[in-house]
Amino acid sequence: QTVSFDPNKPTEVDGDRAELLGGGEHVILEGNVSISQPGVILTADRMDVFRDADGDLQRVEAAGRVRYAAVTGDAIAGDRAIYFATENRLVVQGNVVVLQQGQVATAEELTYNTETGAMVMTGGDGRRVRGLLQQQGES
Amino acid sequence: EPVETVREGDVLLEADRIYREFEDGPLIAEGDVRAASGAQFLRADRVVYDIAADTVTAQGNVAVRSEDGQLFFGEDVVLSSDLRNGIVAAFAAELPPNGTLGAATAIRRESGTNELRKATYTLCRVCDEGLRRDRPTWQLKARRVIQDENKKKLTFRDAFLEIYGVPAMYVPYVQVPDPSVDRASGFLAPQIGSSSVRGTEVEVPYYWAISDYQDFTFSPRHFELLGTQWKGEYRRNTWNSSAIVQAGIIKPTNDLSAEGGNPDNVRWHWFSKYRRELPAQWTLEADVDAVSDQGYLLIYDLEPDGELQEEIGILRPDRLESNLTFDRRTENSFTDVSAWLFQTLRVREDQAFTAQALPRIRHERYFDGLGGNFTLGGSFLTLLRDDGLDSMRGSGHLRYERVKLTRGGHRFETFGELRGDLYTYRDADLGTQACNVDDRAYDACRMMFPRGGNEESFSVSRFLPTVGAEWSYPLARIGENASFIIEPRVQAVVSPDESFADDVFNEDSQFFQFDTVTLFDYNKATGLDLWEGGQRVNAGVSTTATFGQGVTVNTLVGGQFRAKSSDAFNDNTGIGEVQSDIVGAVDVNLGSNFAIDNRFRIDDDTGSFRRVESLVRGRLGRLSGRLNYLRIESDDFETDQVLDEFLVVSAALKVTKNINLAYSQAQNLDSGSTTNTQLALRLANRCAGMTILYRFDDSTVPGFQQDRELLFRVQVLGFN
Amino acid sequence: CGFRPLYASGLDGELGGPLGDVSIGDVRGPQDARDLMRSTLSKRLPPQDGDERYQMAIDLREQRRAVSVNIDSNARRFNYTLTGKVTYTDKETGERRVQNLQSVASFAVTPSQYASLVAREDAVRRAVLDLARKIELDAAFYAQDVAPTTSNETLFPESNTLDAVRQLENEARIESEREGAEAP
Repeated sequence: QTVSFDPNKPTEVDGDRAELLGGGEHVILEGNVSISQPGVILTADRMDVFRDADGDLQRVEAAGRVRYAAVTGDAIAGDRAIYFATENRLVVQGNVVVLQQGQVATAEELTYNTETGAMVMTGGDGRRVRGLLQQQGES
Repeated sequence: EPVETVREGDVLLEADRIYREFEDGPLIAEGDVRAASGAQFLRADRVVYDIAADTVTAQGNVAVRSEDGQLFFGEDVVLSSDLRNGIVAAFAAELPPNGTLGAATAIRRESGTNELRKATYTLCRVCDEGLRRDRPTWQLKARRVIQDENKKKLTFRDAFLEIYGVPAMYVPYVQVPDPSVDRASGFLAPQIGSSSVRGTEVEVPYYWAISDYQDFTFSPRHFELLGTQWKGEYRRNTWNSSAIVQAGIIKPTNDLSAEGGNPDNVRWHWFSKYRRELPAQWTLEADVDAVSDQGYLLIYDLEPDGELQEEIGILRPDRLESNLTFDRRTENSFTDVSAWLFQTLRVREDQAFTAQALPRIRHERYFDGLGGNFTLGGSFLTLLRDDGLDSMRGSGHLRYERVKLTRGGHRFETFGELRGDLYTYRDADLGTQACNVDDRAYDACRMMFPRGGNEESFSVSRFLPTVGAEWSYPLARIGENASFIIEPRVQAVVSPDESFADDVFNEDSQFFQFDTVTLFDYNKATGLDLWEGGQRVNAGVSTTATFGQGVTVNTLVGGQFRAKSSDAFNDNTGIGEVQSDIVGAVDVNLGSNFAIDNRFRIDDDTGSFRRVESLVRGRLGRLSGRLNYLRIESDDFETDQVLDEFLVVSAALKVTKNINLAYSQAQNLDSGSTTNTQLALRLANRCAGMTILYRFDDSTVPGFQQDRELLFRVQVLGFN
Repeated sequence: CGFRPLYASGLDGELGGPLGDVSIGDVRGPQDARDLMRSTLSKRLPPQDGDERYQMAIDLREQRRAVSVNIDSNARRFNYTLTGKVTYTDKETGERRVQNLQSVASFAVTPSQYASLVAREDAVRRAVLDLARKIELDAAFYAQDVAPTTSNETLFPESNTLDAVRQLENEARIESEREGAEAP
């Protein structure tokens, strides 16, 4: 089963410094910022959180040591990431590393659907995607 | 937690793009995908790594390099996840200088051989002009090809030569170093023959390639005297299962009254083997061998062939076995759950007295401890007969063994076994097949059953501890041109001195032979029913002498000494008394041209040879031969002259480069009758060959007379 | 008189001595024989730590052949021949040595078909244990690089059947193998 950001579930956000612009629709957080819900967490050095008029989470742009981890053991790391809450889509770019069910892979860009667990990893311009697939069911 | 290091069987994957459609769906890699696991390497346009099914499917100009560097190419490759076994469809191998090898399907087996189905092989470049634009000047199409990776040899079976695409000749067997392929259905060369029992016979095989993974050879056979037999062989192979069926049916046109075993008017045979790998290291195997009536194989001269042939040298099996087995083998355990059905084709044996093993369950677990190795195991067996004894047996055992070397070079082996058996018998008074020879002797024979054959049903349990130790001290002397090893070996075994002859039916250890191989088995029986108790010492001395040019002489002589004589063994086995017969073996090898292996048992009282078996193999210039002599005397041969004496001879003479003669004969020296004689003449030059085979079968099974047969076969020889 | 203990090693303890430097590599061949050979040999050799100098790869081939054929052509006795082609590789010099060893166990057809099945299965066990003992001795011999090479290819592969035609085909195979072997 996948664990994902549920826009309408309580999301806990914290960071060293926060700056609200435009009446809270655009919040800038800096300094080991983390957004978490039970079972899933996204951390980065800096995040720009965008909300719509009635406060629902629209988009989060994270930069600097972006880490996404879920209780299922899936984990994603990269330089930059954009999380489109409404589409449940997380795009991570730059030295992306993915850990899923013991399979490790590195790539340049990753698109990950936090709802279905579907993921696409590409090597970006000329670079390759590499993966280590472990033998299943070791006796 | 830290990612473990790369383990054997892990796959390193590299691609332009890797994606997965849903949470734990297959991982799909695209764009010049490269996967490596250990020394195996695979490159393809697209690779699907299906974790659940544990398979790797590669598509689009696939290149696979096996462990030892053999390079294969294919379009559609299905491999097990560690890239070792699998099926390569439409595969071609790059073979210098301009030969190419490809097959419709190539199955890589664990044992390192690849079996290519429907392969063509050519060494000449495909000519791209003139009448035959797309056809190579010659091409060899074969039904089955075994590629032996380490020998780098390809063995073609039932191959067919095409000259400019026109089918020209048939080759039953050819071996070539490095070849190439395609895939097609088609006729294979017919086989003509005539025999006194069956009249002239013609067999015309047609090969039908059903799909990448299955084929069917339909080979109807018409007998002048017996009618037409519709028979064929079907095979199907997938990455985790293989099936082969050889079956046939005939409405006989001859008079069947003379034949024993009351055949009805539709007669058939069915030989099949199915194997499938199941999850968690279980494998299923289902083998069915059945015929419509007892005389079928004899009259139509048939036997399981090719992959289904088990023993060599038997003409037509007179007993058939079918089984359904689930077995599981892991690093430290073995489990076998099976059911065995037997069918006797011997006219004098009664099928109702044949015991069926339903079920037979065995399990063993191996683990280390106390500096040695433990085996903990058990088994459950039910033997059911239509009318006759039904027996059920449960048995458990714990075995320990340890081998230790001392500084001075002494080798000590200590072992111990605790075993418990529980038997329950029903209809014990009706007895087993052994007595069911003819009615007169039956009642006398029954007296020898446990409980004198009087009790109808009873149970027995027994507890069987054994402990023992073995000492051996191999000494070696190495000289310039001769070296010797001499090894004294003594084994002492202690267990309770009990006899179970009157309590336990011997259902699974009826074959017993005391020889140099069973000398150092602390329980010499083949099965569990026969148990060797008492205090005894098995001792022997073996020597190995090696001289120059590969001349070696090995000997072993030994015997058993018991505190008290035991009645566990039948007479005529040479063991059981306080001092057993002397068993020995002398093997002499003279380079690679002559070898004689002798095994014998000498009666400790009279000094006469109770059993002699000699196997002589020699090659002298163009003549090569093989002789197997066996002579077994009963213990009081001097009085009752009971003797078994057999001789099996086969020889081949290369008259000239193109003419070969082969001869083989099986002789029962005691009764003076010849059971089987064969003479074959083969005329062959570089591209064609013809075989004439004469066979005389002297079987006198009731209802069948002797059979004389003459067979012709045209052959085409491959080039190498 | 020039004989010295083959297993003398100077150190007590487990199966040390010369066998301490031998590791078992690939054991190939029919499943039952292969599994039992691998477990038997690994019990005889000390636990392997990977830096053994000699590696032993074993190729097993089995053959069941009728030895006595009765007048009613019911084969009664069989020989189960197990041949082990042992290839030693010396990791330091890269030099290889091939040794062919053989064990024969008998089995027979008895009145009870189940007993005949057990006899046939047990012949494999007996032949493997006998062959494992010969391999153990040979390995100890080889590990002290004193081992003479006996004839390094099995005496010409036995013709495998009464069927004379197959006998001829085997002759052809031996011929081609010999030519193959001699070819550069």
